[in-house]
Amino acid sequence: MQVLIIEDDAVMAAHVADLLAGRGAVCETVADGRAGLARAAAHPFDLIVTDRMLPGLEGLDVVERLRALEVETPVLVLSALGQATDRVEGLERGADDYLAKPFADDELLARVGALLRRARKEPHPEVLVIGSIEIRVKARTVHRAGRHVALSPKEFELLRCLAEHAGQFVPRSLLLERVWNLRFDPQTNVVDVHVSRLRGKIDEGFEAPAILTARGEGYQLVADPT
Amino acid sequence: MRPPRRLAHSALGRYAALVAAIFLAAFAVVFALVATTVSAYTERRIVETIRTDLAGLEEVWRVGALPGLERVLADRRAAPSASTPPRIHLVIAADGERVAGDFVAWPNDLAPRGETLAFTDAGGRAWTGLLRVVPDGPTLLVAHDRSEHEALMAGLARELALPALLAALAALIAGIVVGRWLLARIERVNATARAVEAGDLAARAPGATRDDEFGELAANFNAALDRIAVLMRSVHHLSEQIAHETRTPLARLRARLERARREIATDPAVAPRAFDEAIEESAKLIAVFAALLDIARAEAAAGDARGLAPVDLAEIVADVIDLYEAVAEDRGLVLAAETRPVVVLGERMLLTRLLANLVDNALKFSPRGGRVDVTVAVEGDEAILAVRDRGPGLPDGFEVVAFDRFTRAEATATVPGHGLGLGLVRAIALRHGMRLGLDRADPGLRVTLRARRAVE
Repeated sequence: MQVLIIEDDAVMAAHVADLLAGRGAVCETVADGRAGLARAAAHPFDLIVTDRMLPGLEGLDVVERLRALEVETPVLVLSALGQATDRVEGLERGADDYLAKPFADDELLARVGALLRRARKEPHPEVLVIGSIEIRVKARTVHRAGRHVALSPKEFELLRCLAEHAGQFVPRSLLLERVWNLRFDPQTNVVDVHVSRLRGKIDEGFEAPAILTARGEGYQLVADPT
Repeated sequence: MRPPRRLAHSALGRYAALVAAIFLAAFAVVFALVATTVSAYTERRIVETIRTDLAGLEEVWRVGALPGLERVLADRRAAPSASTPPRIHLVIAADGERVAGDFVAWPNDLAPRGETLAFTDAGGRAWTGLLRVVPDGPTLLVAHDRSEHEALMAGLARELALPALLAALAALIAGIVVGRWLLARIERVNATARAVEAGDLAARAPGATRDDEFGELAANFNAALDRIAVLMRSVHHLSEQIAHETRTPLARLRARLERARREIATDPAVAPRAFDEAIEESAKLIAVFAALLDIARAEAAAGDARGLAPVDLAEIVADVIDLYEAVAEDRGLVLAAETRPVVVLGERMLLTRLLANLVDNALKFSPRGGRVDVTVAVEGDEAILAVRDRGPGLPDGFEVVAFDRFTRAEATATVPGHGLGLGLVRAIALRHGMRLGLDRADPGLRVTLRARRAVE
């Protein structure tokens, strides 16, 4: 996997490159918008991670020009401009996802994972099988080790989102966005309550927990629950 | 104090000149009216005198024929009347022969002047005359000297010119004096504005108590300055607060990192927990800044209709209940909603966040076994969204500052939160032009949000 990082802050660029290298990516870092555009247009990367406020050319201008050149490489915008309107602007101008700085490492990895999956255009499977858990998407039913687990609609969406990222930590903010369509963090950790209910139902009668808590930041559905 | 402007460039000079010009123009109109009236009157007098004269002469002819006329005219020439202006006569017999008179023949330059004739004699005197052809008799011409009439008109103009000039001068001076006085009052406001610009933010325009337009100008100007001063103080206060509020988490963040560094040397096994805590601390700090930015953004967008779309309040309530119901249940609380569909103009995400904050707050402060009600009602063309809890309510006097940034009631120190939740609620209400209300519900608190219903 080849990733182009367009970021003028050396510390941030090295940090993102380190994170992605941990997932097996080969990263190339460029500190200037124009150079980034030239490199992205010339080489088939799997993913572009770009800042917004860049010397030479603004990050969103880079994205817009890439799209005009019919380069469809998935782009994740990483920006200190993190308001809802900034995000909407980023997506409207061709970015595939938008993450506000400062961010949690797990959230960056989760979003990158989702982007790459989408880019690979994997067909949405009708049945998701994660270890002993079987999720039928259309029928909206869940079985663990052959036993039916009754879930509320939101609990089902929660499990599906975790299942799509099985084996990875999914931050709360991503769950809020995907399950409740909310782009803000409620003061009380409402997600925790919903997850603990889901956990109660899915783990009932099983010794090994299927859902892990990630250092207070998010959750993970283990890749191979028994 | 800046040097006075040159008169020609100041509004004062222009206004004074304008006043004098208007005065002169009015005077000219009055003079023209007087002159025409006087002139017409004296002209009529002359014509009437001549007409009487002509009638008399005609009578003389009837009685004494031409010789009679000759005699009368000779008498007149011998003893001119003192009461009438100089006059001249001419009598021409029916056959065209000159009979008597002061002329040798008809004057050449007879010009008709209405019914009268006007002409100038060889000596340059102007005359007004009247001609009468007596049927079967002679033609009579009598003319009066106009010089007296002309002198009267010239005298009239002469006599009035000086008073007119004096009056215009008086108008100019009055214009300057009154203008000076008016401009001096404006200058005081200007001087205040310059003082404020130069840095004296406490400067205020004098004369604001006077009950006239200038008093009003000064009062409005001062009110604007007061408002700016209040805003500046609150900005100053806020930046101090932000600095203060972030010091504590930054200190804790630093302490945790220092501990992690120590532990990694002495006890590597427990170090990761200190790092986790440091990350958690930084997340809290990030949340504070994010909330501050969100508040600033919402406040800046106040009154901006862009981005507003029809939103059903009932749907927003349903979303938020869906999010918080489980939380309420876990805490042994009842979260109930009673809504009806009401469409308002708003940003869906912001309104959801507003209600989430209110419900979050209500649940946080509810005693176990309590109940929180969320209602949507309609009153006229207003939609009313209300959240009512049965918690301790607000301490006395707290209503005023409840929505300010970083304010938290003292008794709630143990409840988690950064004190920005209600600040964001107020900013979002402001952004939508919605009115926020706090009512004591005994027990508990009722927060209401009144919004204008969107026209469907």
